[in-house]
Formats: sequence, C-alpha cells, structure tokens
Amino acid sequence: MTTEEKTTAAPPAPTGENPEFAQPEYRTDIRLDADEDPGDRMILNMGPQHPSTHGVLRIVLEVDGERVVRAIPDVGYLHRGKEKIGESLGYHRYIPYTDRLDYLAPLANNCSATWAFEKICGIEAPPRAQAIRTICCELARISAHLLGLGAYGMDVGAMTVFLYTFTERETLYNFFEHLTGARFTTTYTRIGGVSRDADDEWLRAVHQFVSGFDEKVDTWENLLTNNRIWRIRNEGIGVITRQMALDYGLTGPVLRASGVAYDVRKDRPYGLYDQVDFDVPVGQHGDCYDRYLVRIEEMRQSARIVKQIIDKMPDGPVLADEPKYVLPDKQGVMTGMEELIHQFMLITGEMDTPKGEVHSHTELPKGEGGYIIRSEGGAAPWRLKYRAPSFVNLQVLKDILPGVLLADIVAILGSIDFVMGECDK
Amino acid sequence: MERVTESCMVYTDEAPEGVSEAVRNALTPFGVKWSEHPVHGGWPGCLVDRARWAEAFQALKEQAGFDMLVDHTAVDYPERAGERFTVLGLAMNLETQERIMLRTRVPEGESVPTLVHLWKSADWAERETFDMFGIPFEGHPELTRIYMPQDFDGWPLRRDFPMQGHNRFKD
Repeated sequence: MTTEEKTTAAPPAPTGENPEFAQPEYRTDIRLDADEDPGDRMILNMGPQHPSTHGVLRIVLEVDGERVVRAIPDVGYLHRGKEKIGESLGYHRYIPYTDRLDYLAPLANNCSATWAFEKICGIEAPPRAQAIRTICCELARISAHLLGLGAYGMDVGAMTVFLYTFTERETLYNFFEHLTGARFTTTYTRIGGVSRDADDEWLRAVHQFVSGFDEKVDTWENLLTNNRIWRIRNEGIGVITRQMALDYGLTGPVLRASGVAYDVRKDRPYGLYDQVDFDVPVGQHGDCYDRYLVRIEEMRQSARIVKQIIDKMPDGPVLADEPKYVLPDKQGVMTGMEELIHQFMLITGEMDTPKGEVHSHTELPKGEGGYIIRSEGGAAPWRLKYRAPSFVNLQVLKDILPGVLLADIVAILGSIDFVMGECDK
Repeated sequence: MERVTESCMVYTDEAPEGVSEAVRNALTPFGVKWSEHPVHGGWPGCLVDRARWAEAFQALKEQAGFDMLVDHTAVDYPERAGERFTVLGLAMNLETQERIMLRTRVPEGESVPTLVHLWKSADWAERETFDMFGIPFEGHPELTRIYMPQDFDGWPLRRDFPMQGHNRFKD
C-alpha cells in the first residue's frame, strides 16, 4: 500500500455512532445514572497501576464521598497463558514456568507442580528430596509472608516493617541462591526429586536462621501487633464471615482467619508434613487484623517445621531411580553419551506418561494451589489446570469492599495478600 | 491432529471404594456413571447428565454437606463425536475432607447449567471456563471474558487454537 492510498483510505474519525467503531460493552463500564443528581457519587478507577494493588489488579469503584458503594475487580492484565504453555511444552519443560506463577514463592510453586507431575507418572521422590522440598516450601512461605507483611505495613503507613522484613528476605534469598543457583527464578525441582542436593553447610545455616527466627518475629510484632494506629486501621475492617469464605471457596490464611481450620498440610499431608509437629493458627473475626495475626503465627510455625526436618534429615539420593520419567544426573549428562541422549529424549518429548486424570493440591503461601491434569499419554498433559489461590481469593472483594472507606481498601488488599502473576496465570 | 477421545477415563455403574454413603445416596437419583478407579492420586469422580449438572451439585451440597466448590474447568476433545467438551467441577466437604469430581459432556455451542446460585465462587470459575473454551453457562449473571480482552477472537485453551495465536501475522 502506498502513502497516497493510505491517506485516501483513512477512516473517518470515530463518532461513537458508527457500529464499526462501537466499542464492546465491558462489564467494568459502570456509569452513574444520568437522570439522578450524583451528589458526592463518582466512578473511580483504582489500578491497574495503583501501588497498593501489588501488580496489575484493577478495581472499578463507585464511591459516595469516601465510602465505597460498588466495587468491580477486574483481572487478566498479566495473563500469559500458562496452561496453554504447559499443554504444549510438556511436564519437564513446564517447571521453569511455575517460577513465574506466584513469583514471591517460586520454590513452593516448583514443588507443587512436581508433586502433581509425579502423581501422573506414578512415581515418588526419595525421602531426602521430599525433606528438601518441604524445607523449601516453608522457607518460601516465610519469604512470601514477609513480603506480604512488609508491603501491607507500608500501604497502611508503617514504613519501618518493610525494611525489617526485607532484611530477612535477603537472608532467605541468599539461602535460595546457595541451594538452587538462582535467587528468584529457582526452577529447583525435577520430576522424581530435586536438581541438586543440599549440603551440610546450607542445612546448618538454615537451622541457625530458623532457630533465631522467633525473636525476629517478636521484633516485628512489637512494631505492629499492639500499635494503636495499626489496630485502628485493621480491626473490624474487611470482615469475611465463615459462610462467605466457604461460598467464595477461599483458602489459605484468608480462610483460616475466618475461623476455618483448613490446611492441606494437616488434612492431606504430602512431603514430610505428616512427620512434623505444627499448629494451624485460626482467627475468630475474619477481619484484616486476624489475617495479619494468622500470617505472623504461620511464619513461626514454618520455622518450627524447618527446624524439625533438619534435625532428622534423611540420607540418600535426591533423584528417584525411574529412568522412564526422571532426567539423568547432570554430571552424567555433561560427560556421558548415554545420559546426554537420555536427557535429550526426555526433554524433547519422548516421555510417555500413563493415561489418567490426577488432582494434586498443596498449601501454597496464598492458599490451596491445585493441579488437575489429564493425560492421554505422551510427554505433555492433554489438559493442565492450575487452581490459582489468588484468583479465587480476590473474588471476595466485590462483597467486602462495598461500605468501607476508600483508605481501608489498601488495608484489605494488603491483608488478602495476592499476587497477580498467580492470579492471572 | 492426533485422534484422541476421552480414553483415559473408563466409566462403570459401580461406585468405587472410598465413596461415602452420603455421596452415594445423594448421587444415585441422577443415574451417574462412576469413573472406574480414583486414578492415582485423584478423587472419586462421576459422569453426570448435562441437564442435571446443577441439580447434582445441589444434592451434594444439601444432602452430603459439600460446602466448597474447589475447582472448575473443562477439557477439549475436538475429535470426539457429538460431545466435544467435558466440564469438570470439584467439590469438597470441609468436615470429612471428602472431595468428588463431577464431570459432564457438552457439544460445541450448547450450554451447561450454572452453579452460581450454589456457590459464589462459581462466578469467576465459570467465566474462566467460558473465556478459555467458549462453553456458555446458562443462568450465569455476567458471562463475559475474564482473562482475555473482551474483543478477543477465539477460545485459547481449545486444542485446535494455535499456540502462537491465530492473529499473529495480521496487522
């Protein structure tokens, strides 16, 4: 097409009447009634770039002065088609993508996915790998809750907490780096185990960290738990009743703060959770303050779990001896022909999984993460469905936001503690 | 495309072991077909008639105390004659920790009764399934796309939707 043609063919400016230029009606296109006197009412668009929405959550609000009348959460700005990727790449090659789901706890996501994939293959990781995974899950939980707490505090105005929690996160990220070789996108687990063993030095350092963890939590609690401003900002705000929590299918700390003691680690233990002793904290009121308390206690319990596992760390290999599904040892791949061919075959799609359907669920930092996997044979799942806890938890916003003050929204968002990477998949 | 029908599931009339009495009683009137074995690590599941999809969940909720809809999705079998999609719904009884996966089959273009009146979580869950597969849910208050843009063309998680997207070389 030449330039002249382009100018002559330029479409007329959209008038809004030409059906060709009519925009589709979005469900977030809410408008005030034109015939009525709006008074103090207005439509306010919060996000997708609002700092307190921790990513790209958009909430369309109808406010009456400072009071929210109607709230419509809008998600999907970060949708990357994770399930489609999984269905076309296959099991082995999907694990790096799980890092980017809940990007505040990549290790927990790695483990969650591998546990599901092992179920479809019908194999199990050896005890030492399970122990390392359990430690990883709990360290990831601490790390995710720390960021949640820091960001939550900062949104509500308690800036100091953020600096404290990020210092601890730095320590944790150093642990992750030592163990997995990466601080953030860990891709640590493999089907049938983990990519490399944890050395004694690492275990000693982690043990030392979790042994002194309680005192650190005390420090943060000193800053917040009985802080007058913190309590006024959070007590009685964003109450989620037990019934509401069940109706919306909430899971994780949000559900437990509403008085339901449901924790996958207790009710359907996986990994080594059946061999450790820990409590499930439960709230009473379901408000922001209870959700904060539940998270604080969960961090203490996580440290307790890690300590117990390191104390009775099993010995042995970290990869199962199942050559049909498990990648060969990396050292072998680098030096031996057979292993190289074997790895190449598995990765490029010569793996044949049994047919069947599995559902595997684990307790991620934000709630229950579950995989429904349909296998029709072959190296890739026929259907891979990831239940993103943040996605399910966010839905409750449209019920709890109406009636609250505009400034309370940031407290509620902070206390629900969601990650859009996971929500939007 | 490789010819794949739902060969991973085998259905029988007999309920597998581990299904509680309450669930059996609640689902018997619906003439469900049970999947032969709770596949490794899976949950007992059964196939329900599409017209009675919502009623079956209602029976589970009211008679067997299933109080949460945990997950909801669909599977696409483009080559299967007649009924292209299998819709899955996973419900949980919080007290007994029992879970059950209900499935139903639906041809392309036809709708499945909604579960929104039973669980509010079905709202977004069904919108997601609609967005990804184009399966309409009858009675859903606002069945619009949730992840994809509203004016997006196509249903991304259908097996015949190309990985790169089909608008790649258009301007």
